[in-house]
Amino acid sequence: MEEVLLSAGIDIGTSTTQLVFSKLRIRNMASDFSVPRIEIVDKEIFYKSRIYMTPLLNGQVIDGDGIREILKKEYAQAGVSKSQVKTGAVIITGETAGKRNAKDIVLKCSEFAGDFVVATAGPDLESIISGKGAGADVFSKREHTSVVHLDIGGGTSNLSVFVNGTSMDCGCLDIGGRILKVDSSQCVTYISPKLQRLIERHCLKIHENMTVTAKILKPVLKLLTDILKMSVGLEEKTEDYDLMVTNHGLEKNIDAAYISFSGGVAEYIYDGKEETDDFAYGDIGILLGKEIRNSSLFNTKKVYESEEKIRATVVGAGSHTTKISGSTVWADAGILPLKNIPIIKVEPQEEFTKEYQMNLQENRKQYTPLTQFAKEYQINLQLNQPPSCDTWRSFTKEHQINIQGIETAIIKKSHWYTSDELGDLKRPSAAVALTGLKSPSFIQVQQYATAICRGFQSVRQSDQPMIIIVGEDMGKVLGQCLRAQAGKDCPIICLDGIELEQGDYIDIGMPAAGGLIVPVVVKTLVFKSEEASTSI
Amino acid sequence: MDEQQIQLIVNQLVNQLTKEKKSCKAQKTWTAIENDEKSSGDSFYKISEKSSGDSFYKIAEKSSDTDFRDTVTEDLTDIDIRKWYLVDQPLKPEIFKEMKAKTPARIGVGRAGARYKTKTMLRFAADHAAAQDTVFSDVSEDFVKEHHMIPVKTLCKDKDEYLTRPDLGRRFSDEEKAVIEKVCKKNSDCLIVVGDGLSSAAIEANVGDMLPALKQGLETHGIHTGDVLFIKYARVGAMDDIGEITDAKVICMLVGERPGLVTAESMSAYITYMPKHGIAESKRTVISNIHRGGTNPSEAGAHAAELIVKMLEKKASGIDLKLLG
Repeated sequence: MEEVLLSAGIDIGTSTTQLVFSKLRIRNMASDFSVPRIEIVDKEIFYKSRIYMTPLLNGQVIDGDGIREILKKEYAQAGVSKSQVKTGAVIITGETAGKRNAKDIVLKCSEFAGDFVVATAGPDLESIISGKGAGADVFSKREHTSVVHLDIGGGTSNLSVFVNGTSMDCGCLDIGGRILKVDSSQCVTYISPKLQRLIERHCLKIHENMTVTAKILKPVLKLLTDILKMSVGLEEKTEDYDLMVTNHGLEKNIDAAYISFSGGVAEYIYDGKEETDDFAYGDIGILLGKEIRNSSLFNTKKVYESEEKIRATVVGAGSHTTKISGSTVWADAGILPLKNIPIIKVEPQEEFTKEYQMNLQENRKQYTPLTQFAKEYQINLQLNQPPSCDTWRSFTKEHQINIQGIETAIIKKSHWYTSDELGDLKRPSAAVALTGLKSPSFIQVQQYATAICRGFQSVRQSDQPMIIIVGEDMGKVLGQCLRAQAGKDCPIICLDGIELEQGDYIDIGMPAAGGLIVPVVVKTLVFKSEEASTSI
Repeated sequence: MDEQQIQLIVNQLVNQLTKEKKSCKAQKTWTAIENDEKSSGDSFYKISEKSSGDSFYKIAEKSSDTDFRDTVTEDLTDIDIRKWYLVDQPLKPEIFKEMKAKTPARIGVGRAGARYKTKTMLRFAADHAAAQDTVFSDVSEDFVKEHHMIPVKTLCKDKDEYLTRPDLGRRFSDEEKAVIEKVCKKNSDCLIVVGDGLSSAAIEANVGDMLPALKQGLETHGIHTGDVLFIKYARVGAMDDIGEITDAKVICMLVGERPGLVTAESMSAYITYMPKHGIAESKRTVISNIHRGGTNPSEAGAHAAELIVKMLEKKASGIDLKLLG
């Protein structure tokens, strides 16, 4: 049994707008004698659009019609119709996310692109998507190593760190190829406000309407490269770094073994592309790429050459945003698809009792630097201690779940979303995300159901569905318990195999693979203009 | 190496252990065994010199003044193989850790000379013993009562006959048939039966979670199941005989799987639409590997319930159901 989900990826960036189509192949990987286990087994990008300059009406407004034209043309050229597209994402990135009509555009694009093409925005998501699109996650998994990835686009540099295939950290800086633009006579036409401040702080004589050369710009490029070095921990951070940070930088101080680059600027960091005219694109992209290549940023760590460079983000949006749920789920299909569902995360300390948490902490999958594990390993060997015996038996299963805690968490956190913060988005009720237990007893599942029902009772309106997403494989039995406890009339979606955090949003698509699974996109919805307006 | 030789080595090891134990009471048995790893090469040759007539049990008895006996009886099978790192100096510990986490198979167990380490050998023996134990032990009557199951028995007189005569494990005597007829409603949509099969441990470990999940799942679809039968000395084919007696549309049988060295607690659910004598094995749907480390029993119950609903709807099971999609 194999099924293909057609996925669209659209990236509306600071300087370029792109589109890809990919085929996600899903297949049951379990034997016929087991409970099915559907997985995405292959991602094939079969169409890449031309790279367009993002159409702008003026400095503050994106040209919606222009973007629509691009999409229409590319859909026709690829021979793909809206109805064929089953999943995917539109992401609005870099400085473009700060334009006045950014939200409007991205929502309209997602409607145009397909019924279940998701609208996304936000620097963190962008970082992770570009890293995945560049192949840094797969590389780190295959080589059992760690990679810090920099996607240097027009307006921003997105940073992400992957360890053994898992994204561990991300950050964003306002550094890109188009934060300084020149015209055909190499006269400066634009300097981004942050770069302006950086230039002023270092008393460099660069301003708009002056003619520049590579030599004149050299100090600026060096400054920018130094800040990038700071961002990955190669140099001490200074105030320059703080100035250029978008929302936050890398925070976990993971010393990655490899470094990789993507984004338009990356085309000039790795070997290959040569341009005789340093200002071929009317910006500092080429020069910045060359500067990075000749700096210690490129020469200190081992370098992984990304599979995708300028297309990394769009490829990530097209083929790395869709997850599929566990293969035993409970979904009243009538109410799908659902979009823009905010997540109420029940934190482990609310979900479990204290004594269970102590056991959980020991077993929790945690990031340990390679060297640390090696040390622990040696100690472990020296002591010759057998690994801890089954911790489950140390206390009875009935006392692991904190029913009261889950109930309180749901009630408390539901109120965070009562204000209609998504504006024009039609908002379904929030979804409750739980960690779950690896092999829960039936009584434990019932305890979960009781806690969830009690929590929802006071906050759910009668027509709203009950949406529960749990990390461990227990979705179907929990769904049935909820059905039994909540009554027949309440629509229930209970998915497993997906881990979520507070602040995430999810979209849930139509069931696939004979109703066994549903595609899910985990996303953020952060538009910079909102951030700016709230902070002012 | 024949069995006698192995026994000799074991005796020798235990001898050394005991000595070391006495000299260093504070340390745990594991340390002693590990130390022994290094010298076990020598001890092989020493055996011929010494007469090591002491049996394992005698030593345990002799050293009853130490805490030796307590530590020996520690259950080896409690240790999670996936987290048991026995390679002394792995080149890349992180990758070794990951590899181990992927499988309960006995990989990355290190070696002493050209052979297994003692730990590995003892664990293998312990797992094998657990597997044998579970075949030869019975599901306790208390367990059957506690879960409100009605006990019946196939034609087998005892475990030996059960193991040697599979045919008898598929049929019931007239008296037992009468019990089944009384307990089970005729023509019901779904009957649930539990059979000990080859692992009583599997039944005791999983039925408590799977049965209520399965029943609840069926209830949500309006399918009511009556009392659950517990069949002693049951083969999967016993459900065919019950099918003949009750004309149930679907029978779901939870049965203990033949234990292996990874787990002795694995259970299967065999689900058949209209089981009758002589029905092809291909008409049975099976969910296997139900245990704590495999498919968890609660989730398996919920999954089985939906399968049963689908079978009733499509009037088929096994390969036939697959072909119908």
